[in-house]
Amino acid sequence: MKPLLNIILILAILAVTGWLRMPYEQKLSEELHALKLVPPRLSLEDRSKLKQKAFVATYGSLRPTIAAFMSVKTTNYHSDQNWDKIEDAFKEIVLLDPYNFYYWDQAAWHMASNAAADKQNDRSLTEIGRKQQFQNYIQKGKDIINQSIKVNPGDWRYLNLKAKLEANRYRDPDYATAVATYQEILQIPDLPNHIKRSAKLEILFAMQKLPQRHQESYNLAIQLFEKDTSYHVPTVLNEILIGQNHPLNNVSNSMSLSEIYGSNQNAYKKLKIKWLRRELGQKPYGLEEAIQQVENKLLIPQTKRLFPHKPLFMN
Amino acid sequence: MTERSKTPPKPIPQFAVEIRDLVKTYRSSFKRETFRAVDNVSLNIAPGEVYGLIGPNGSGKSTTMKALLGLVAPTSGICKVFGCDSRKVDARSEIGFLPENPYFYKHQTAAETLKFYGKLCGIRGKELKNRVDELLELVSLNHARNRRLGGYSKGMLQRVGLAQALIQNPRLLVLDEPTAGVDPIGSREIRDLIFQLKKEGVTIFLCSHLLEQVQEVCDRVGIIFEGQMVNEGTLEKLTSIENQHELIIENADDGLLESIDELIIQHQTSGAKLISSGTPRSSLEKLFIDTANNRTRTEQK
Amino acid sequence: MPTSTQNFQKTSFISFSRIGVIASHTFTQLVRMKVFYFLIAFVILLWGSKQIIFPNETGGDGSPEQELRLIKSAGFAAMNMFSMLLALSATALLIPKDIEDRTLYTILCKPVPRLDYLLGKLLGVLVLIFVSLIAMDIVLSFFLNQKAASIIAIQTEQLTSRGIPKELINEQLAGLKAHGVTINIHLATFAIFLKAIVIASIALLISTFSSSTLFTLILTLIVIVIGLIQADARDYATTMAEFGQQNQLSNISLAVAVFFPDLQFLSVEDGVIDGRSIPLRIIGQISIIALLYFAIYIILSWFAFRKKEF
Repeated sequence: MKPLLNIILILAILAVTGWLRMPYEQKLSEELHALKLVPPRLSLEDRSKLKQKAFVATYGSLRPTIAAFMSVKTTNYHSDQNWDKIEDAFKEIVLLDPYNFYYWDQAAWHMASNAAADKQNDRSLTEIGRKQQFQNYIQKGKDIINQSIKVNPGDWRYLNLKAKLEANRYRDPDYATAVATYQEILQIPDLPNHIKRSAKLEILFAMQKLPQRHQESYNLAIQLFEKDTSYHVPTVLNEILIGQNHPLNNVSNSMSLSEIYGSNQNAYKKLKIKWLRRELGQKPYGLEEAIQQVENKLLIPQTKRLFPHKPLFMN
Repeated sequence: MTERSKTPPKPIPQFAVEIRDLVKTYRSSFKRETFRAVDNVSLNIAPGEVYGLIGPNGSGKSTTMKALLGLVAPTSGICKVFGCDSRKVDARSEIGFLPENPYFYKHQTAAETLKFYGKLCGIRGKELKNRVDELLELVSLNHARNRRLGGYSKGMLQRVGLAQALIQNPRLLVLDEPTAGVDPIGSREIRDLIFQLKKEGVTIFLCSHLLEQVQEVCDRVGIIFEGQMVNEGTLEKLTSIENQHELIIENADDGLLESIDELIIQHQTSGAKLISSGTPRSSLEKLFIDTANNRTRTEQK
Repeated sequence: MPTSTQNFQKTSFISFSRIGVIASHTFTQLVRMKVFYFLIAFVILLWGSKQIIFPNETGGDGSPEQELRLIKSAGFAAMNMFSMLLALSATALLIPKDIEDRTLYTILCKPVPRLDYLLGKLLGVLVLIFVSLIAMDIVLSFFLNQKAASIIAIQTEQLTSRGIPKELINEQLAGLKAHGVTINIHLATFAIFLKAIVIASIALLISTFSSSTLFTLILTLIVIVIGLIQADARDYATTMAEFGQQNQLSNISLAVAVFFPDLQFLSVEDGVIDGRSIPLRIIGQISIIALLYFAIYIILSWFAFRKKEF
């Protein structure tokens, strides 16, 4: 009887102390989750998806280890171009290690780049089928990135992934979304300076692809040009030139070629590249005239000129 | 670790060990049956006495010993060591215990083992070192002091056990089968040690199945059977055949022996009669020891 | 040898020197069982992790970080496993082995209070775990530092060759440096040690009323596993209570939350693997809770053990 009484008393003491410590532990636990110092809670649904791994991964620091080993396996799936297995594997990997950027990046890349490209060239499918699968996998990539942003709010890297994908001209781009995402990145406090700089330039680059935002694009280019010489990159300089020649833009202060590019040589170099890389359907206002002007100033031999003859619509 | 009590001196207890109406009952977990291992056992041991408790297996000897050592709690009754309740930790500062088939930590050497137990008893520094040396010398284990106990024979382990029991100079020594599994030489040495300790005034309480040895060393003996004390007293009282007398005569010639026979016949009317006559026998143990000692002397020469 | 004295020597209720003797003895016993040989396996594991290079296929920033993460996660996983196994098995074996070998009799027959015995045994195991974790922390720091230094050197060279100014390079590499050896690695190791303290004291409690080593091991393991999901159960029970909805599952979750320890809050090494910092106040809070668990389990162990018969 006595041993039984002892056990009952021990359980009673455990119950009382357990009851008393519960609120304190709950508060501490919430704080640790907020600081992301402990792994996120797995829902019952997630646990059932992970099966035995959930049991093993319950013990601290085994989750990232298991995730790492699983990610190594995906290289085999990649070699076999088994996109379904890659997708399933990464679904588990990001459940196990959701705060690891590398896995989200890899997962999105496999879907939106590799799988999409593979389906685009898959001759076993019809043309419609290829297009459908191509878009399907790009969407899967986007879904993964959106999920990563939900799990890691306020982390610029995931927003950057999203923006890059939306701005990728080979992957069903949505430049408006790309611009909005880059602007969202700029709102993040304590953003590293090099990311701020890169985001601003990416905004301009994407905005240039949106014809209806021509004024905004030009204003941004002027803002960046005046901010710092580190922004005197071709994207900015060319946008100033094209923007101030846009018929619908309000231009307060038109700049000469030398003011924009610093020198005729620099201007010629950058303008030439811009002309050769211009996208079909794009109207680079004033670009042709500027190149002509610089070719004349630099006395480029006719045989080497981009425009050896006067354009028909110029006198 | 231990401190001298600041209370005024208590009266000197009459007994080293006082066990009065000791009852120990065990209850099985599920059947709720009770088993009385010790049933109203009472015994007292005077300071400096050697007391032997004998009985068949399962008679309650070990339980009685454990109650004295505080390893089990009496169901009822009193157990005291020099007037202190045996359940208190204080009582154990005066007790040295050698369990049956002692098993010590294999990873330690004899010296380390003794140091460990010495420190547990509050002995430190040079005092401890000297005490360890002294005891290893006493139990003849100096040559193996730095060997791990894992490599010790049974007899050596028994001697280490005895040494650790003596580490804090206890007033009461409790020995459970002290010579079990030990060869006759070792057994004799342990017996001699017991005699020596007795001379030094140590009270000894021992259990043994080797009745001859109990007979040799003990002043008083208790016989326990099925948890009850059935007989107790001095050896002389317990083992003497009151109406018989023994004479051992050395170098008696035939004439003397004849005279003795005649004298007995003369007193036949008073009821005296000769029961037996002949040469007494030495013990096999004595023969063994003498043979071993002689061989040792020969090898040394 | 005295034949009688007038005063009995009083034994203090608790004695740190006596506890120290038993602890030192237990530590020596475990060391002589050659437990430190596992360090060789640990070094091999970390050396292997250091060799793995993750391909930078996407062009993103993830792969150098991932290599550092792998070393940290392998290191911390090994530390967790080892300290848990040692805390569990060494403690679960201590008392049953002493009872079986009857060495317990010779100890308890000396003036050694049972609390001192329990504390001494437990402390011996904890000192061993502590020393082992320190050694593993040093090895982990060494390999991590080597890897981080080589990655940073390569990245610095690449960025410098692109003409990027030094301040920008430092800014870009700040994130990578956060994944290297910082104070947080050592704080995470300390958290693992706190976890071992709690596990060992649970094992000790169970071993005081269990008669079998196997039963102790199994039951302690069950308690540990439940302890790792206790936070989820508590969270569920709390949420249901807040909404005024209670069902059988929430009642069971509440019982789990009350009776079992929360071991998840001691798993802050996951955050360190992600490159996060552990605020010192958090370390203070989790230390207090861990020590409270330790105190409760030790007191209960003593309560169960004080009148145990042998």
